[in-house]
Amino acid sequence: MGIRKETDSLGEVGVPSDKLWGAQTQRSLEHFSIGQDLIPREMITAYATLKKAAARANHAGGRLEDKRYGLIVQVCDEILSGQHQDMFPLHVWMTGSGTQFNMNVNEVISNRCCQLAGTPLGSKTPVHPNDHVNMSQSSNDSFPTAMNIAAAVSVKERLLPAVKALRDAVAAKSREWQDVVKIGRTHMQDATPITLGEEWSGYVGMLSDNLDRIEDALKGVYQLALGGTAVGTGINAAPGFGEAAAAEIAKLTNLPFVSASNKYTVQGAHDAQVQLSGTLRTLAVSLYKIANEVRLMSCGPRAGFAELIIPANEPGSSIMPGKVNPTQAEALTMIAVQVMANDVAVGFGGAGGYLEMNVYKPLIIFNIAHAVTIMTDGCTNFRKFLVEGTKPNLKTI
Amino acid sequence: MLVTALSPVIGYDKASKIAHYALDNDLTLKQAALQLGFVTEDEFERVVDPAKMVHPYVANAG
Repeated sequence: MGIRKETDSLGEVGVPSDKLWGAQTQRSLEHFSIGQDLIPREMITAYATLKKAAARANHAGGRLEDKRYGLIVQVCDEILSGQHQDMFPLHVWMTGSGTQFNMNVNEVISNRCCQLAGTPLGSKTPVHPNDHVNMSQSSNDSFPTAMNIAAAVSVKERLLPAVKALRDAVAAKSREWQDVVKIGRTHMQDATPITLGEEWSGYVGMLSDNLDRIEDALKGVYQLALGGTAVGTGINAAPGFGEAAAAEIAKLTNLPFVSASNKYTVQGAHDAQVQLSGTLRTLAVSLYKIANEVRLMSCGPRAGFAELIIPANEPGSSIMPGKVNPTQAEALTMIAVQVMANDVAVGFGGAGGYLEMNVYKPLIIFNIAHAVTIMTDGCTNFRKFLVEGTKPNLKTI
Repeated sequence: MLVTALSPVIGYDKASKIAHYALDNDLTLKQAALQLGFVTEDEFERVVDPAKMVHPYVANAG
């Protein structure tokens, strides 16, 4: 495999000839190959959406010529359709602004435009990574905008449906068991009677409340920084660019994104992301309680509470024949603990910005995207492999 | 980073050359821009104006 020369403002850099990224991405790969955590893949789609929206706004404003506009949009559509995903190799633990990831996106789009136009890779002609793909933008307003797109889209498209499906499955059990009378317990000691359906309806309410909390937190996430550029003032962005680009992002995502009324607020701090993370933490707290109670009530089968019979999904022991364990509850409680830890990191990251820019951006979106992904999958598996197959043990209850 | 305002006029690459040239040679940004021949003095004065840079503003080529 050969090496080609790419350039940036600091000089020449050798880049593997089969890669579409440029000099700044290569420098980041060399300086920040730390661990195995990559910038969340959701950020690739979010950034392609953003670059397409910015190109549309710039083209409509007469700042971006037809040919360059057409090429940029064509490449963004390729990325949005799943192509070039392996051209975004950068790690989370990089510059706190995420600048190198923004440049990774700018460079890949520029070079793919070169291929389409028949010009050499690295020529930055006809589409320049900074002057055209990054037109009217700074990493300082585009990265937080992409963070908000990535967070909102993944919450709306993946987490909320998974939580709703779990809530509905729990509700179905609650209705089915409305006449199963059991002992209620407070302080873990016998109290007055309750039905199993009533007990589980508490879980339904908890999950419904979490859905509402997360939707409420998204209202802040829909406020976008784009248009603020370097420090929030909008230098090098035309008046109205932020509003026009946010409207395009809203169209492309079908979500109610708007331009934030104060760009200093959303570039100096990421309180909306911190708030969203807080609601993810609350959901984790609820899931922890629900999963823990299911495993407690299934404790047995002979020498425990044994009120619930959970599905025998897999052999539970390498030494004890016939043992079946509440493994889905164990996985979900571990996920809950991890999400609470993610939220601690997001809190420190949100608190840690200085003056005009928060410089914990990759950390914040990494932890939120991770929390969304593992809770989505955890809720889905817990529903399919535990809740739906759980039965009351009518002999002991 | 006052050269930021020059990017829409001369492009990011030339604007960053001015910034590096000024630092390397202990020059003001205007001296560096004029020595490199990227803009005229009048153009520099018109575009690089801190009072214009505190709100949405794209310098035109004039």
